[in-house]
Amino acid sequence: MEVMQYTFDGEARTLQISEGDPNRPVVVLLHGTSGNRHDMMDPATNPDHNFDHQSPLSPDKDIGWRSYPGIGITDVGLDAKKPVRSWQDALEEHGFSTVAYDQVDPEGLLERPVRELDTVMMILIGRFRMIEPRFVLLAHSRGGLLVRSYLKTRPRTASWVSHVITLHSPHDGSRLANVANSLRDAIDTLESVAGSVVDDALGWLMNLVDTDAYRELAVNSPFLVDLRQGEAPVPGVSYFTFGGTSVRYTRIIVWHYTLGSAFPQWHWPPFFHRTTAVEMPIASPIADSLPNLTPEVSEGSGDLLTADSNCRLPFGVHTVNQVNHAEALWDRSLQSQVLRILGVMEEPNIWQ
Amino acid sequence: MSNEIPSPDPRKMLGDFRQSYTNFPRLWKTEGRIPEEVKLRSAKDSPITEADLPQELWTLLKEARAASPKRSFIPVKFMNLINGRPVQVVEDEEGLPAEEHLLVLGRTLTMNTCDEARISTDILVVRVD
Repeated sequence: MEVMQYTFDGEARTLQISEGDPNRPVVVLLHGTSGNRHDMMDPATNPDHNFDHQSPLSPDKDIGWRSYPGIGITDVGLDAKKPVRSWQDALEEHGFSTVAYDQVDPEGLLERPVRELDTVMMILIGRFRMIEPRFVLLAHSRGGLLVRSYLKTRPRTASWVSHVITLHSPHDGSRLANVANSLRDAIDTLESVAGSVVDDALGWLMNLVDTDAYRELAVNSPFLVDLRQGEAPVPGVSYFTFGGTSVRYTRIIVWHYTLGSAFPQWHWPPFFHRTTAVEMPIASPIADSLPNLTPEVSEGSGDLLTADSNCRLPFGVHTVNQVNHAEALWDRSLQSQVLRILGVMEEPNIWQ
Repeated sequence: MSNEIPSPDPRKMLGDFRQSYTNFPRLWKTEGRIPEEVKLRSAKDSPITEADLPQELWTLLKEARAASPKRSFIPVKFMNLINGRPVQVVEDEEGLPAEEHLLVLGRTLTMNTCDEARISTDILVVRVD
């Protein structure tokens, strides 16, 4: 991995570059709101939402012998995390060069990140000694709007782009900023039922919706209206968009003593404690248990942050997957679909 | 799938009871001493009667007898533990009846003040024929 320094607006910044097959395109990985380079390089570090909500619950746990009966709840928590493959790893495995970096103003407006992307592209054009357009811009969430704004306003460096691939990017905006108060009330209600574990699971969502970045992406915001005006596909660029329709992030797991833990045994001490896991009724799974305030937070329509119907471009090829907003950072089937666009066949591992 | 609290499996619970069973007369014979705080008595020499048992266990035993009047219910072992330690044990060196002939009754009482936390547990093993 090469770390390349550059300067933007007087600040020293870095690019993480992995060198691949020179005959393959270079993929520039662009994260979304509140993100950083880890979103595309190591999503287990950030956003750290890789909950394993599909595996069977853990088997019963033997605690041991005690002098008192075991009664009631012992623990409440979320699903365990699972290992995941980042976009960078998936592309490197198939010989692509990749570039990732921390964008400026990840929670602010897009004006500076767009200028920064132009700076980055100028550096990369020189670094990779391009003679024909071979950059793929692979963008998650707000990264897709960053790409569109960049392509519209920076035609000189944009002419080196061959593919635009956006993952769960709210091209027509997100209604979450409009329902922030109702969403907060719904999460508070859930927390009153299930406890602080709800904040562990969804606290980040309210922080995100409260940012300038999210307000800039509200449906029919001045930014989006201005972006659409006069926007046309860049000649020679192929556009692909992906949307998600699952709002399931994690289960809330309750560990409680088995009934047998309260029955005395002919033993010294007499009570053998064993705990068993169940899903918390009503509150689990998250975020299915939230009311369907908008399509963004409705199972089957959105991925918790974006509505699939708002993630499309009129000049792009769109695909829908039943994954949530974070899973777009590591879902193997989605990665296989993108690799196929880039000319690589990878059979998805259905066991992951 | 997993929102239900699992129902108990009574046969498995009796199996667990048998598996964790410790015969205290044999244990203390091996160790060469009976702990000081324990009163040990043989059920054969001095059978377990209503007077030995807490009222709730005697009531449960009467209910079991009334539900199966053709069967015999013979208490064969009784133990009282305080804070998990046996203080009264009525038991011989024989093991437990087989599962089909086994009835186990239990009672736990707790008391908690600023100065004391006490758990009293009673267990009665009955042979059912």
